[in-house]
Amino acid sequence: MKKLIPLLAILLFLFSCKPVKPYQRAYLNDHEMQLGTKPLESFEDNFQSYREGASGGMGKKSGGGCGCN
Amino acid sequence: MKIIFTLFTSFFILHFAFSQAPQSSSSHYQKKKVSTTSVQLLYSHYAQGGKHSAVTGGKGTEELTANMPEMIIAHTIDSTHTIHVNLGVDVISSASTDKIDFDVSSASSKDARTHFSVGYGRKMKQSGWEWGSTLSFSIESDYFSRGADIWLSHQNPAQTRKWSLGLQGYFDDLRWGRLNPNHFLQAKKLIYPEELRNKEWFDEYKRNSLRWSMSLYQVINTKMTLGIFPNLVYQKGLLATPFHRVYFVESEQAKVENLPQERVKIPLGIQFNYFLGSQWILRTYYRYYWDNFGIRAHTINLEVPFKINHLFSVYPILRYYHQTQADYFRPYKEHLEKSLFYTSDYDLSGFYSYKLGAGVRFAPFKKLGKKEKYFKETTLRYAYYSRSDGLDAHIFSVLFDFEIHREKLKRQKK
Repeated sequence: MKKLIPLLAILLFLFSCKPVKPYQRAYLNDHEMQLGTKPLESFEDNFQSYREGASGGMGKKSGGGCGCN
Repeated sequence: MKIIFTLFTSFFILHFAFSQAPQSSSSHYQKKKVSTTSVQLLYSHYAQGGKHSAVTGGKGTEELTANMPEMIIAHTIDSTHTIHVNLGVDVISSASTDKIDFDVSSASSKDARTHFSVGYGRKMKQSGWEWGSTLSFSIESDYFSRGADIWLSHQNPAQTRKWSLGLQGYFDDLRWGRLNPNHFLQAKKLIYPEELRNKEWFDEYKRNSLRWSMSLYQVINTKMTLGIFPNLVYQKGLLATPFHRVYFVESEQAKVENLPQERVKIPLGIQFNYFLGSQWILRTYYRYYWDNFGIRAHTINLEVPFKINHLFSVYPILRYYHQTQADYFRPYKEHLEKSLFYTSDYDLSGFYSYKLGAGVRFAPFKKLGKKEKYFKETTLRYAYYSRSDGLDAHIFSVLFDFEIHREKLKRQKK
């Protein structure tokens, strides 16, 4: 049951989506609102993939291509 | 790998061949072609300290500094085609590297990792589909990697939902010697700790990694966005690091680290961004991670950019991470010799870590000279990282982002 809670929360979010008109996108188009990893964060992602057992998620490198875990 | 390379090359040839096709003679309008080139110059400095080096069996200094310049160029040929190139060098100076090199023995030995990638992306006009592919290479003294990826994405007409699928492969070779002047570009053999070179510990020197990734970007309303990022990673080959020592309870004699030759990783990331009022933005991220080495990890990341005005924004960074210990990890001299797999690499131990930092962004989008060249932004970022086993690190990064616009008028035929 505990594992279902995050899944239900995501579904709730997805089903509560509202249509957004082009002139209403000012906040969404802001640089800081972009989803995914920014180029400057890639350095930190890289060293974290060396120094931690976990890697990947959000388009990040998850093993291979370097001497990391 | 060869198939992907052939497909990639064939596509380029076909694309450029068809792009030379003559325009329709009935055309009576002037067509304006706008191309954009984005140039991002990045630099990062990383300094680390610690006392659990895996090279010396889980004890000893982990002091390391790295300087990492990088350049990313993305050229949008027109509204359909994009080419991107990425080139970077990581210059690493490590106190423990001198204990593994065949030829060098110094207080602090240096290594360099050079990485290069080139990719192509294509938008299918008005359908919302987009696809692309990238080839990548990286080389350092004890590592050579070739990589390729292909991806496909679709955005709905209202531009509120975008999903993408990707497949990425890395084909790595862990033999030492490619950057040594005596063996230039010729791999020699796996590099073991100096006193353990009396035998070959592994008959495998390749490490192949396949990664399937998916992402879903969803606009929830005018101020909220959500991203979901599941991955599935399969690795096969030499997953142990051949110059890592392991010491055992019963013996003074070290062995080379040994890990299973297959690993499955499943990370699932969720990102949620929320524009609070008109100046604050909440950027949140959570990741759950599972692998068959026994590691379970949770990551929480929080950034809260504050827009001082339309040019400046500042943001604090907070990250918390926790992982359980891999089944094969024991500290220095705590392994039993009867164990099949063993490591004293603290990256695979159970620990928590936190990262604190801040960033500042200045985005003037200022025209440089008379030509259509723009200085888009500069960002500075600093973070302090601390791991519960005593390892800590400082990382400083800077970005300069430029953009060049070109317009071409196509002459009409009457």
